[in-house]
Amino acid sequence: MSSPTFRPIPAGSGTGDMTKAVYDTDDSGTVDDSTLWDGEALPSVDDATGGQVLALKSDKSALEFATVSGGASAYGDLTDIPAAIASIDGLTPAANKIPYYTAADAGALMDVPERGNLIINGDFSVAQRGTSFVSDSWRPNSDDSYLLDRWLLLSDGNDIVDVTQIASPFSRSRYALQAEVETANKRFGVCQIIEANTCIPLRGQKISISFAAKTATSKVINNVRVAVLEWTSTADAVTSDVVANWATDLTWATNWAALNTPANLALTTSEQTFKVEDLTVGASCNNLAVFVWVDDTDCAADDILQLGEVQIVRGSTAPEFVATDDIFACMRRNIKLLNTTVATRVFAIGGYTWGDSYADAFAQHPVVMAGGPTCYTFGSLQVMTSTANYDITVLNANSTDSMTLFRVTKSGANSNGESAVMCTKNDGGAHGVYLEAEL
Amino acid sequence: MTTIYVKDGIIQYIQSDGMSIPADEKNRDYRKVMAQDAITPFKRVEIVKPEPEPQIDRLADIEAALLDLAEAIL
Repeated sequence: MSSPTFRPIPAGSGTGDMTKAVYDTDDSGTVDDSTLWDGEALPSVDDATGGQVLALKSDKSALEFATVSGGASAYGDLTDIPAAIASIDGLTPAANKIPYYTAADAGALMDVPERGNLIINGDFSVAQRGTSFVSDSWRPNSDDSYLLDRWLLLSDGNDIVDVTQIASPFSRSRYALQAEVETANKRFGVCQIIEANTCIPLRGQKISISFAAKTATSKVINNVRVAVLEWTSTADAVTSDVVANWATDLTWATNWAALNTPANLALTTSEQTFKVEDLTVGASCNNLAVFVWVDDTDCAADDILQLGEVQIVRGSTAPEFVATDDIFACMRRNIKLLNTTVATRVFAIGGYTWGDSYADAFAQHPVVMAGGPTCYTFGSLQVMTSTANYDITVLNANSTDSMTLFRVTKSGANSNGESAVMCTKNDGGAHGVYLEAEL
Repeated sequence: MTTIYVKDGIIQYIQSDGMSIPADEKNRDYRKVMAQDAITPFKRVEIVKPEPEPQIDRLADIEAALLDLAEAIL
């Protein structure tokens, strides 16, 4: 860095208010000159090439960065810096708080933000039930249906939108959810309900939400809304269809209440991240839900909403989204034991025959589930023994949180204790066995 | 079709269109069926079949069955 030089002050110039300057002209360490200055030629600090770096303001109130080539200051006004610093300096420090700016010259303290996302599968990357849901899927796109893991489709009727996992149009994730309108002029949205183990500790605490959304050229959906809802009845025994009435200004099902006032958020064909911050969880909250929906009733068939990077964090602000691998968290609520269209027989679960027409097969869950699950099956399943294959005519799944006993009635008789495997019928169709303990 | 299986008047499980639903208040499908059942009761079936009584120890039974299966496949 070059050493500054001082610009000489004109001798004998001006009258009035003056600044007295002293000089050590021969660099001897002793003041050998002094003069009075009337402000007509401002003293300044110059760099090695003679360019001004600092100068006294004309009202002599402070130093400022010098102007460059007759234009505006290249560095801004020094007086701005103390104002910004003062806005933070005036705060009272406290444990586990950090300062932040609320405006250019105003600050506040907030809790140290948590990066942990309370939403599971916020990037829609886990898709155990499949990646596309239409009206004739094994899990159809009906109102109040869980589709992509942990995400519930809510709509004003069935087959309002097709739902698909897509390669993400957003910059911080690999996947996203796309809703494509099938039935025009209807409201729809996706919802995730968060379990009580996560929500009860948040009572009285601040939370913030963010999500990314966009629409598509020539398939424009104009707005989305978001509500953060709290459930105050029995923990984890929620009404999953949080919408009581889809008419203008939705009303919520009994015991659900919004923590924020939802408003239209204008979509474009470019990625946007929307935030609702500094919400306070109620003292009686047992479960939380985030519900992102299209409140417009002018959607045409094939219009598109793309949604991704959903997060709820503890704290007054929402940080940047970070994708995580949530497969095991999803499996606490939903386990795919089998989903195949392979034409050959696929072995699923081992067991044995008993009582002529029955067989038992056991499945140890790969993770302990949140509760006794519902068993969903589709396609033709069979029992294979060492002597023959039998169609399953009745399947009863008897589950705990950690294992399921499949007790089936089959189409033919065996003696007690023959080895048996529950398997798919090699009929070329789709077959599936799912265990679900969703909220 | 939805059928509610009961034993001594207590719901044991529910069968409904590809679903096997446990009698558990925490299960959303159970709650949904019960809500509908309160409006229009579903068919109830009393479970009369006895529980299986394996002739031998169940774990040993399974182990032997799996060995049989392995031999059959090989």
